[in-house]
Amino acid sequence: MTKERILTILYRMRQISPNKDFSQKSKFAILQTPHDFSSKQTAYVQNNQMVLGLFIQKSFRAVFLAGATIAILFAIYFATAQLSPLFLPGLNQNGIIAEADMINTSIDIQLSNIQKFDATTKQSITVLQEITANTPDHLSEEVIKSEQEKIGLPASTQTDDQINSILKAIGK
Amino acid sequence: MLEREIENEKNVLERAIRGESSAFGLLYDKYQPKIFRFIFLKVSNREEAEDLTHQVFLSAWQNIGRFKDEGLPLSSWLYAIARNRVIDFYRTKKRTESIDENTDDVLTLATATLEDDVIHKIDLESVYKALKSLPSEYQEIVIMRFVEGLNPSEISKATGKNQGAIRVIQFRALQKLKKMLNNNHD
Repeated sequence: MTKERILTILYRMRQISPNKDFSQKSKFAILQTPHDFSSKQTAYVQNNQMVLGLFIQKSFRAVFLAGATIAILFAIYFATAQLSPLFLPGLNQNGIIAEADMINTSIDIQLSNIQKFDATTKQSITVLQEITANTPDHLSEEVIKSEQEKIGLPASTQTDDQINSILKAIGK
Repeated sequence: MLEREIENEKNVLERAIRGESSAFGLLYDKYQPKIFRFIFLKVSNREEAEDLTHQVFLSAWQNIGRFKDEGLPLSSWLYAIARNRVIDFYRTKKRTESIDENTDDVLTLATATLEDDVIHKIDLESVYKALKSLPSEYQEIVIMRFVEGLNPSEISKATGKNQGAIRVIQFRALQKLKKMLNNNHD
């Protein structure tokens, strides 16, 4: 067989063609399927853009919330650190302890004073009771007389009389 | 005339890439018989050829947006898809291309529209069997070059081989065919 004959036979194979019914059905089925890369690509890009947008939006929101939270915490800390005795004592433990210590010290002082006062009062009462209930021994006439007798002093001396008379004269 | 046709096809292709199904339908009408023929001559079974052809155009429709990036003529792109489908077909079905495959379908289709005589049918069968006995890549190039009339540049882009290699394979394939057919006739 010659080369030309071979080429002719090969060329005539071009007569082979698909069944028309198959071709129509296949074409219809293919074109019914959702197209395609370009629209998929568009959708993909749009989706990516949307995802990116949401991501940025969420990121900004997260950063904003984190910043706001930090600011609030800082403000609370500042308030408790600087103003706790006045405004938010419950949030400053050191402030609470210091304040409690101050109160305790004050209470201790007051108790001490009360105890002292109480003791003094008791002593005063005792003394007054003693004064009112018993005449002091050194003022008793009998005691004085007995002591005079022990010592041997005269009941009245000349000197005393002289002094008395001078005093009377002066008194006149 | 040819330039106008090319320009027209370019326009249709652009519309198809944008997702216009009617434009892709026009491309389908033009290229589907060629792709079917290429596949049919490779697998020698009409139903399987139809199935694979359908898959090729479905894939083309779903991926036509990528077409520009690959920088191929549309025909080369479609033949490349078809070629890969045929390779997958033989790989997944654990089949090998064999000259023992039934040639009835091929002969029936190849002679259906001709006022064929017996001699033609015999020659056709002989050439087809000789073709099927060639290595796979030789078959592809013979079909693309001498049945479909693609130029070496288009074949090069479809197969990924350079044009020099295409010409060498084309020459060797014809020599082998000639030798086999002459031996059979002797």
